[in-house]
Amino acid sequence: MLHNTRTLLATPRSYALLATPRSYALLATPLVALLMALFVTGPVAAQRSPLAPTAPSPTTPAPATPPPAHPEALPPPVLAPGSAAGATTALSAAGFQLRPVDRATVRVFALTGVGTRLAEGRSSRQNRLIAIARASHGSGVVIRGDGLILTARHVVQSADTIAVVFPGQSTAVPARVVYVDPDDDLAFLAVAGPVADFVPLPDAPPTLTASQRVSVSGYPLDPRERFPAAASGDVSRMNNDGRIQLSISVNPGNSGGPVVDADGKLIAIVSERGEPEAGVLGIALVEPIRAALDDFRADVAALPPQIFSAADAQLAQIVVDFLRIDPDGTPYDPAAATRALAAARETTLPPEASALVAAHAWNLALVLLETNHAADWNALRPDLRATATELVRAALALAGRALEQAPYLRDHYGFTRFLLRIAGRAIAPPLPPVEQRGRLQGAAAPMR
Amino acid sequence: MGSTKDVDTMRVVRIAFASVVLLLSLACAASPRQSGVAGGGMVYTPSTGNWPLWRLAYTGFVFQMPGTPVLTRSAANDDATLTAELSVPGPAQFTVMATPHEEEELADVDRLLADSMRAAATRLGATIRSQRPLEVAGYPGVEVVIDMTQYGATGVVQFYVGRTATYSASVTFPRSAEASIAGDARRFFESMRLDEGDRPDRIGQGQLEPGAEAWLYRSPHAADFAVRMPGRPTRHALDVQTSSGTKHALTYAVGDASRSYRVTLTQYDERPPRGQLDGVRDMLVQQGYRVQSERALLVQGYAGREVVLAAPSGTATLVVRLFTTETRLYDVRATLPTTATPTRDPDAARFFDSFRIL
Repeated sequence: MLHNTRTLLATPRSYALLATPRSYALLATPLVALLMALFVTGPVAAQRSPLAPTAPSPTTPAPATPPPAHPEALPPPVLAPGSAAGATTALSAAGFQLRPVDRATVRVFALTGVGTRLAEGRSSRQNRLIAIARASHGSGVVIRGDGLILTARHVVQSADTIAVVFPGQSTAVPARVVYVDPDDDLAFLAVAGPVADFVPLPDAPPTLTASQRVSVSGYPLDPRERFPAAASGDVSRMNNDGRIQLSISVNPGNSGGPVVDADGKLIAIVSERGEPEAGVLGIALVEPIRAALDDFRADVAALPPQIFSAADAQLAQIVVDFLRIDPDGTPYDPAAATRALAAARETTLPPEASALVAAHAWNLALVLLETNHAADWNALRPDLRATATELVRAALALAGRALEQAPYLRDHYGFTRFLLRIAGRAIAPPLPPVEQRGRLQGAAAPMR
Repeated sequence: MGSTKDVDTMRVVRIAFASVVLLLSLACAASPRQSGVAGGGMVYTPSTGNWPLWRLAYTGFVFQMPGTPVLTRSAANDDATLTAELSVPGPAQFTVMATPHEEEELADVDRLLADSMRAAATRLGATIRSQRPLEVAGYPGVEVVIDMTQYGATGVVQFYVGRTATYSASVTFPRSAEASIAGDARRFFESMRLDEGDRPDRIGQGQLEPGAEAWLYRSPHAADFAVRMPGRPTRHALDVQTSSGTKHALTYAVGDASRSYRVTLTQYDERPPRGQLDGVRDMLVQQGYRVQSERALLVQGYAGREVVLAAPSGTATLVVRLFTTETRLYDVRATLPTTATPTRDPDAARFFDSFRIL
């Protein structure tokens, strides 16, 4: 105990940001796991069918929260974006209720780049180059009916594309950062309103009392979960830096989520948690609502509403689809995905968005291969082959366009240059090899 | 970020090591034991016909060799960067190699390569017969001809320095075969191709280049930003005094007496302290600058501020944009003639609007 206490006192950095865009190892593990479930790097998963449920293995880390045994038991997402009422009504019918703050708590996805990984397809056993998101997901709380959301700064910092998902929803809406506190871990996002469920900022910052009972709402761990999770604890103390320490267990994904008192009033935003590796457990550091109130009054309240285009909406959905590709590869209608991607291809996108769409198109093409036990494009049924061909063409065109417009993408969106270098081939060259090709001319010619 | 001295030391050691490995392989290839032919009297028969075209997978390194190369050394990581050495053994050895490096190891690469090569050659008893800088597809490099007297051999080595890796090509041969191998060696070196994916951003003289086409994205090594600048920027390292102590800073700049564009990043151990943006503005005011306007900014979710100031001389306007990240302060500034309106100046807009934190 003494050691633990001393460690905590002596190492104030024994906390971890709950969503760190660049350091996505903890947060992105579930995201990577979802896609990696289609791929193996060793013999462990070789006996599994690509349609079999994902099981933990040394090479395929399972989501920290196991998926529900019967996903179809959850109420279907049938609402217009921005309203959780129908979904939560259906949830009530299933014997579970959300508090007002839960209904106002949203999931925030932030994409900062796309990397690559080489892996062996589970069914095909072929070497694949897959696109891996550099992303974080956290939480936020709607504080005004026009779609203003309060979250933690580190959830959205360095993000190129941000998508918000309302409770009970599968569809995403685009979001934009409208204000970032330069000193405190707070940021304001905007989505298109109106939004039915919100928890307003208090008129005045509340006085907190040691040992006061509080609770949080948020979306820890599995990014496929559609409803927020609640956790309760006590106010421990005010730290030297002005933040509040809670005795409460929060996890990656809780960042930016609301902290409320017993009356449901917003009192803080979740910022950091204890770092289990450093022996710090059951602790959360939260930003008191006072700073958010100051920001709101001084810089945010008068900001004009944000306008979002259809392309913004498509991109937000692509972000979420890209991050949540199902390990079974079944929820996505390839034709619908192709249409969405074709629409995105026709739109003038920022280079980062082009790179994202390219990555998503490529991964969907790989999903087609693995779910159909096909080694190469030519092994697909003609209709699926046509879809895959379109996806690969789109991926190559968009990746090329992105790099041409913004050469700096070669690092954070390194997927683009690797995709171009393998020229869209389904079977990626092993590492480290040499490749030989008969001619330099004709980039489409396969290198054998 | 380590000190400049640390980086230089690492760089010298690594490249020197690579050079030693290379030279050892050259020596072995040229030795009688390897070739099976009495040393010094070897005959090289120039190849005829087409040479296969090869590419190191996941790199943009394409080359031709007079045969099928053998992988002699390799390593790879998840991001598909690799160390690979490929050789076609024989009376003359043709070798290519790719070795990853850290981006910050790239300052003054020409001098470094030449010095490292010279040091390694000296240690192995080889002498450098000639050395010349070269550039292949925008990759800076150097060609070195080495005499290995004790082996009766000669080596020609070309290095091409990319953003993430150093690529090299070499031919070694018995000195007696020098004349007969010349054509194949030239063919080998002329086949080297490198795509733009790993092309480094070179430090320049900081001169403004005319025309819109000069406004290229610059994303200097390890600086984690990208911005369009009208010319190759200079790079200066300096120590700056801040409220939290002395910090290391890097400045990249292009410009002349009337107009300049500059990005400075200051590295902190933790988040820059509160009020740092105010501090920069206040320091300029202390130097005689007069604040004309000030507003908050956002770039990719990073909080920032723009301050427009009139220079003490009255002949220039300074536009400063400041952004803080978790460990850095970015100071992005343009000095414009007073005849330019900062908010409407197209070049200033091109510069500021293109700034990205990577």
